[in-house]
Amino acid sequence: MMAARFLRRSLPVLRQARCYADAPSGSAQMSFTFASPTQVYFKEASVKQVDVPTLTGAFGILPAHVPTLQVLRPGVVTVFNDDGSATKFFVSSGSITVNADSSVQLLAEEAFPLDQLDVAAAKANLEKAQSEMVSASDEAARAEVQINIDANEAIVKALE
Amino acid sequence: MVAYWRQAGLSYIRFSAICASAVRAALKPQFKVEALKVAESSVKVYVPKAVACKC
Repeated sequence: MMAARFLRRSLPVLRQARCYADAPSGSAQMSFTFASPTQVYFKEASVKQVDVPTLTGAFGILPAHVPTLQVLRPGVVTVFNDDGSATKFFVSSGSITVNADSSVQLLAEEAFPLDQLDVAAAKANLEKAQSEMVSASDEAARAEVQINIDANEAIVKALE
Repeated sequence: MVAYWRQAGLSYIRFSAICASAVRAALKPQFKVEALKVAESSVKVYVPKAVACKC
């Protein structure tokens, strides 16, 4: 009789008590892979944070980020290494995947360190594209020139 | 929220190609040569002429 009452009262405690929020399990590490078709910049490296420019806006990715798939626009990717230093790259486009295990894959169509880009060339291309806009015939041609303008503007902005 | 290029009928592949060529065009000369070499297509399309089948 006593034993039954004891068991009934203590059963919830004996069963593992569930909390509202579970503490994050595992180490706070993210495995970061960043590559373009010709060059691998990071391969399953451990970094603290990555800032990426996506079509829906720029955001920073820390370990234990919510899983997401995003598509990139021309812009600067900043990688914050474990030792505190930051490296910047310019990516033209591509995709970024954040998995549930905190691994991040950033696959770029073209990616270069900022010091490989020439701001004067980008400004000249931007002016040329802006003048092409006037002579664009239909909506598709206008959109293509606008993409060129946006990409060059992003390069100029990144280098200034 | 549809992107302007999507509305004009362009695909993301085309967007990506234009962005990539814009970035390649803005490289410093010593890196540009390498990038252009890599970027040119390595696929050759061969369309055989229609031949009457001997069967």
